[in-house]
Amino acid sequence: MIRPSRVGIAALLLALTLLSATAPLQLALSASVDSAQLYSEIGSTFARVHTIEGEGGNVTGVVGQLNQALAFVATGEAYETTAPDQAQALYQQAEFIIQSVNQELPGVESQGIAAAQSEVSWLAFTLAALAAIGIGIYFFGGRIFWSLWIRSHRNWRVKKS
Amino acid sequence: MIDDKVKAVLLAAVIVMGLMTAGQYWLEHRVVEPFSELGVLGPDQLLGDYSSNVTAGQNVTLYGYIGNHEGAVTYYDLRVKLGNLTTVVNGTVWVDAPSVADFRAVLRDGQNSTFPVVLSFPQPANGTKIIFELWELDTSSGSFLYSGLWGQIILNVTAS
Repeated sequence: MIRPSRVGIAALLLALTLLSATAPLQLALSASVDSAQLYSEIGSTFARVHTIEGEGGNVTGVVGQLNQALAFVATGEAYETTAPDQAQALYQQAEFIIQSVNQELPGVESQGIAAAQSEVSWLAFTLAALAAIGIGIYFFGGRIFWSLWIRSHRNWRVKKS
Repeated sequence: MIDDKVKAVLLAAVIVMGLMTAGQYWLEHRVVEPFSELGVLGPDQLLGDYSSNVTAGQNVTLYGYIGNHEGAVTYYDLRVKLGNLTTVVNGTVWVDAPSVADFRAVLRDGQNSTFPVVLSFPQPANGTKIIFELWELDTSSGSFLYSGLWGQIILNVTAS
């Protein structure tokens, strides 16, 4: 009942072919995959993405890639009965993307942990700086204030009224 | 020298600034009321422009809208099912029938997605329901769970 556009599929295939040609990753693709297996792999990968996001990782890129993989699987399903070869090609592309995401995730995770640590460090620094300013004002505020006051009023002269 | 009262006021201001800084840090990492959105949109992708009568064989175009405000990345499965006036669906009961269309998307917090659904009905039937159910992947069990969000359109399919 759903009618995928042939132009859309062609564009997706072209985009993925270009991606495959330029990607530095050497991934081993299985000979034949089906949509259920791919959905299962996407589910497992999503679980990792969910965890990594919770640790502070920026998952924007991998989420986009997972959606791309989902689009390939859905389009492949629509072609499974009418054009099985085309469906299989789409499934292979989806598999390629899933493997790419799985290879990227450790890097995203370590970046996330580092970003979270740096955010906590910045907060600690800000609070320490505020505390230091408070202590500084308490002990040296008066001296600083009056020395500045005297400096800014050094040209004043007292006149008889 | 500065009066002790002035010092106290300045210290209080510094303490308040510190609390506000710390508070902002914790608040931006917290979602007060997480929720998801499901919308059934008409052919112009607007709420409410649904047709209630279609002829058999005619294409019906609808759109499913999903929005994520869960505070975390979420994997959704929008299932479109068919039923009739006796078919029950609510926040806890989903329709026990196969999906006629199925759309999956992974959305980050604040993201949304819209899916086109094109259906046609070969036979005339009064009170045909097109039901949209939103399911979410539970990462601990690895399976999709019904979110309790649903929408439906009721159509009268007339003979062509």
